[in-house]
Amino acid sequence: MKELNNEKEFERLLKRKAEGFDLKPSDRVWSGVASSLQKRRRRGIVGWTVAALFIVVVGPATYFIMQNEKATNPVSVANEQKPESSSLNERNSDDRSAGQQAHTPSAYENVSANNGLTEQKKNALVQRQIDYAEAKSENALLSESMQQEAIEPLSYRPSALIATDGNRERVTVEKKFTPSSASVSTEQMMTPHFTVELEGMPLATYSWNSQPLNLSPTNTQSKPSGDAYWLMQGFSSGGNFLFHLSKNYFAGAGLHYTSTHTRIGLPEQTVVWYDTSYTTINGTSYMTIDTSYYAYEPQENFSQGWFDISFITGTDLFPAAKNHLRIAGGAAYSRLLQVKSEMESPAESLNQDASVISGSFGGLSTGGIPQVVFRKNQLQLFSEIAYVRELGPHFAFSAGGQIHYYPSNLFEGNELSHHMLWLGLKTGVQYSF
Amino acid sequence: MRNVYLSKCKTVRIISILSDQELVQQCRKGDARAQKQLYDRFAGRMLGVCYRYAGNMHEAEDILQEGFIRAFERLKDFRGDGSLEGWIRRIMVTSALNFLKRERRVREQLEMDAAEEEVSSGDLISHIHTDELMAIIQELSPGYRAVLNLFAIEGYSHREIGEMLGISESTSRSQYTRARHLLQKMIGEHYSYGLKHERAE
Repeated sequence: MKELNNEKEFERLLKRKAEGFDLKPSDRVWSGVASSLQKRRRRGIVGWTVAALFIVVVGPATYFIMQNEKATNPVSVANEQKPESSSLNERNSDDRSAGQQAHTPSAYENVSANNGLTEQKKNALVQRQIDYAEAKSENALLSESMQQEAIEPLSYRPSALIATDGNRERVTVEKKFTPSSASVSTEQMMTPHFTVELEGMPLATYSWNSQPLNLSPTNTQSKPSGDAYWLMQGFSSGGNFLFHLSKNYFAGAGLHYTSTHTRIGLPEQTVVWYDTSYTTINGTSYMTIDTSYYAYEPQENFSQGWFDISFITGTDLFPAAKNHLRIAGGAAYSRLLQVKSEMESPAESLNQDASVISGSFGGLSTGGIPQVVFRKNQLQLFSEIAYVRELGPHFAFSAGGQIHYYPSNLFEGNELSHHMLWLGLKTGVQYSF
Repeated sequence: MRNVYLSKCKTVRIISILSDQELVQQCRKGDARAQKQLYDRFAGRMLGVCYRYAGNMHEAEDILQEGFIRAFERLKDFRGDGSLEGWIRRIMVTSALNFLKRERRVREQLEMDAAEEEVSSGDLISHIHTDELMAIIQELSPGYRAVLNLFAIEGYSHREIGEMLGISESTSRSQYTRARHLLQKMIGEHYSYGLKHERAE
């Protein structure tokens, strides 16, 4: 009993002394806290600015272009007004002579008379055929005979063309400014593309991309504890479908699998790098220069910016893309969907479900969202819808959206775990010659 | 000019008399001055808390910094049911434990299960200065220090401590007993050493 009283007395005295104990922290503590608070404010501003920029610039631009297209596309008018009669060949003849302005409502009636399909299907097929014929005439990349073939009355016999661009060898030189390191790597990438066509019209493209991931471990001085910054070494494979809804509209969905063999420890840091690469695909050369800016703060935020210049001498798969210079850029910002503290105190739960704010925009086929997964054996799901509009013979404009979902931990070994959802918006301009 | 001066004075005075709840409201709005004031109000006491868990002052300041960043991030979750100081203190304790866990100090130490010689305790704790007591606590191993702080000072139960540190309730209990005995022994040694010096002088 006496022992127990002694214990209680000891604890009481210890508690009393400890509670009255305080110390003066050095100035560096507040500097660190203030800098973190400022960074959060700045990131919030950047996120909202990106969203506002998209709403103000891209939204109206897309709307304007779509309106413009509707106004100059007589097929939609034809469908609404049930035109009199004419022939598809006549329409095409006008088309060739007067380009895009030569649409007549005759296509609908002609096809309707020849086939016993539903009105809706007929309209869709006629629309598709006309769109494709327009694309070919505008680009002037296909031969006259191909144009003739494309405008023949539909027979509805599906035929398929499967194309592949085979092995891709890529030599990459990259330079990271922070922390400073440089590396040269050679990658072998399998990138087969399968395109399904219906009577010469592309309907869907499936592309598969497999590549080894091999990025060097790097040290950082950003934290006093000297955490190592390990990037992945592993393998990534996956692909996506791209559906050609019409000449201008595309929709895609895909699945990517990544297996990595190293733990990722990403301390807060900023990395800027550039990447020059030379790629050959079955004799077609690609030269690209990428510049990227990454700001990692893995516990809450992830942001990325990139800029890409590509010169493509040609490809058999997409003739329209021959000899084109592509300039694209983008930015992405994301916050975690869920943040959960690993250590849960029963006395005070620090669990926190935070709503996600994320967005990105980028350009054309390179996309604005990095398809890199920082997690061992993880599936990444994504889908995309894009609108591409040719602006004259050399320029093209694209706008679209993507949704990505990372179903498990992103930063293994970090005290935080979460699911992550990306909502991406992208736009870009392409110049071809 | 005078008006501006008065206006500034008024602002300063208004900020200076903010209650904890008002300070929280201002901080939630992103008011940098209120954030600094909140920091100034609690930093000293919280550093005392962090120091009890850390191995040295540098580590204690790291924990304090991390703890305040977390506190500001999560201020929106503070409902005002308890005191603000208590809420921040719990965040500091959790930050300290996370820090120790990252450094893998606590569990390894506790799992070593080194038997300490039991010593008789006295009421010496009341005779030594707080600074000296804290310095003695610093000499304990990180595991003992954590259990001692959590049980005797923070008031957590052994079941809660077990869950927080990833050990069993009985391990927490036995390690606390050892930590307390060791601390008493160290206090005794410190006291008798001081007494000898006094006599010599």
